[in-house]
Amino acid sequence: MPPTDQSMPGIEGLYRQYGGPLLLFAISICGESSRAQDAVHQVFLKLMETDGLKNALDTKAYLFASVRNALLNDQKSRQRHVAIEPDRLWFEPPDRDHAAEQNLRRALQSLPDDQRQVVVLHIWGELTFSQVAEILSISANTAASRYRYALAKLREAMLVKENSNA
Amino acid sequence: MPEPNDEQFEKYLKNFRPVDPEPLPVRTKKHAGGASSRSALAACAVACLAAVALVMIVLPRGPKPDNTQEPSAIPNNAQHTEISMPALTNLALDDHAAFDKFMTDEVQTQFPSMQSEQSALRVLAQE
Repeated sequence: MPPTDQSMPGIEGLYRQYGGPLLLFAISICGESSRAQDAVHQVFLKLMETDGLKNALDTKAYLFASVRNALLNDQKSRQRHVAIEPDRLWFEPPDRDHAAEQNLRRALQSLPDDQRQVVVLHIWGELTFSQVAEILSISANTAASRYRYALAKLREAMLVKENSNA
Repeated sequence: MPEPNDEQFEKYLKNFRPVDPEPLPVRTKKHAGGASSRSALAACAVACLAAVALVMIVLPRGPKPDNTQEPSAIPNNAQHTEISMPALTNLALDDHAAFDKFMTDEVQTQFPSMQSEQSALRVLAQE
């Protein structure tokens, strides 16, 4: 996919355009909103200082990869795993259906980390499997396979929840 | 909810928009040109100060010049009126006629009179 930011006014425009999906991706990795927020900020502040996007062929994929790297470095320095926060909003739900938002969030939380990241990158990051594969250092087939498993689990988890609520 | 196929389910999921992050904790590049705007403001302030200083020189508040050696055309009852700079500015903006009159009077009290035949300024002007 070619770079998509050509009409955007620099780093600030990229932040507005991709901030939400990047934050969601960061939360799906570390499980903690404040750390996820810090990682996204860190990436963009560094880009502002260094103009690091000059050499990026695929701007969007580069941003997601940068956020992931920032979190992985941070996790290494902390040497501990943080559990996913249960009650922070991840999405602005359609029609203010907060029950559905909670349902989706819990279903995502129930997925294995690697599957959750693929789903977030493909659906809300709108990245192709090739881009997802590059970001996560896996093959495109693996990315597609993880996505299919994840989608099936997600649907099942959400249906079970909806049926239990009915 | 009927069991959707993958495509429908993806569309449903995309209806949920990820929450936006908080604004970046710095002023963005758009506002980063603050140095040049600060310079412009500083230059403007210096220009204003220079203008005020010039006005202060033209309208000194010190003792009046000694006009005793020169016959003055100013009536004896003409009083030199002290007025603050903000008041003078307001006068200039609000009442042009009064401002002109004040400035005329002020000049007559501050500079040697040109009315007298012996006035140095008059002599110089004739030369």
